[in-house]
Amino acid sequence: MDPTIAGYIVLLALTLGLSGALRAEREHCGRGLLLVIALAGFLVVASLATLLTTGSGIIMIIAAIATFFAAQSATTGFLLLRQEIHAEQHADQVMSETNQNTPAKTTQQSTHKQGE
Amino acid sequence: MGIGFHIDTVGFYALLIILVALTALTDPQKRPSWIWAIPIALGLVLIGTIVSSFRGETSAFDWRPWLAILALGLGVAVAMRRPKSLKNTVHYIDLVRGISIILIGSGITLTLLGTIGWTQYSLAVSSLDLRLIAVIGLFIGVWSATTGLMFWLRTNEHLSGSDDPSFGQRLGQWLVLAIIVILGLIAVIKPDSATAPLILMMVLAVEWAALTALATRQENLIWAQAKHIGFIGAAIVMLGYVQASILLLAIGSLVVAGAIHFVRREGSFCQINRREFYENEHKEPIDFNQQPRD
Repeated sequence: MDPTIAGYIVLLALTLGLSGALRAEREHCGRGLLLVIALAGFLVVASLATLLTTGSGIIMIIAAIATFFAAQSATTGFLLLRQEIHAEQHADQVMSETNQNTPAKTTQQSTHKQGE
Repeated sequence: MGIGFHIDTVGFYALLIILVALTALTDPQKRPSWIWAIPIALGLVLIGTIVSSFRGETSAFDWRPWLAILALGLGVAVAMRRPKSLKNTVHYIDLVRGISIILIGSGITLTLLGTIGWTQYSLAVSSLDLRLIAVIGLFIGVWSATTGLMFWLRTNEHLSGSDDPSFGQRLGQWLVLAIIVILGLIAVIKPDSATAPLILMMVLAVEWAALTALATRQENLIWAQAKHIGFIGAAIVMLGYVQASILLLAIGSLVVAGAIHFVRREGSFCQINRREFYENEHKEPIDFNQQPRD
């Protein structure tokens, strides 16, 4: 590959990533990291391509081991992201329910005191 | 090592799916369904690669695609068997352990791919850039795998780390890194006599990674892991260059950009206020709003 073309592609993708596509809001930047980890699972594509294009037997076995570890990493990364997003959604629901209940209790208490 | 036209076409659509998914994931309602776009895009590329290899088959029976399917299946099956957190709760320690396992796996992959790259390109005089990529890939792989292993051992209480390295320790670390760089350069410039420098470089890389990982503060583990994810992204970019794959170049750059975002935010894993950290290790909760740095 021409290094200039590769450089342009890298620069464009870096700009895209830095300008906002992966910029999670301040309180959720951990999810951004897990998203990036899930994307890093694309490493398996490189090892698979090496495995499928090689001619030597030993290199084929090494590439197969690399593919195994890459697939394991990619799956773990995605499972972590999925788990985090579900937990985050659940935590948001709990927090909003707590916020809704807290003012109601305060109102009830003040009404009770006025009645006394 | 080019991956051919099929993968490029499929890779284009996969990249399109990823970019759309990144936008859609900013919406909290769409998030649980759109995260599936990432494995779908990845699966699309993998299927495309395997199908194209079946088409390009020259011998009567080529078992490489079958070996690939077996390796992929085993990898996915092993990852699925990892113990998970309870439903709707994710402890911080689970994330640190999970990312450690990812670092170990990705590090081993990069080390093996670096070794393959070295054996393929060490003989060609003109392939200086490819040799350099192979050596850097080897170093990143060994470093990430060792760091991941150290962090995993620390979070499982098999090892205890030190908080702040002394001046002497820091000096020692930088000295080892300088020797690693010199050995790597010797291997790249003089491939004929590169075996001994390369082996020594890898041994020192293990030592350097272990020293650095043990001297990382407990509350900075995920910050250090984010740095390694950035390095893995850089390695994906280099693999994209070697394999002439625009998809890998773009994805690797996105990974680097995402890691930069996290590292710049000083590693505070921001959902931390909702979850406990090391339940058994610390009696008092750590204040993650104050992120000490090395």
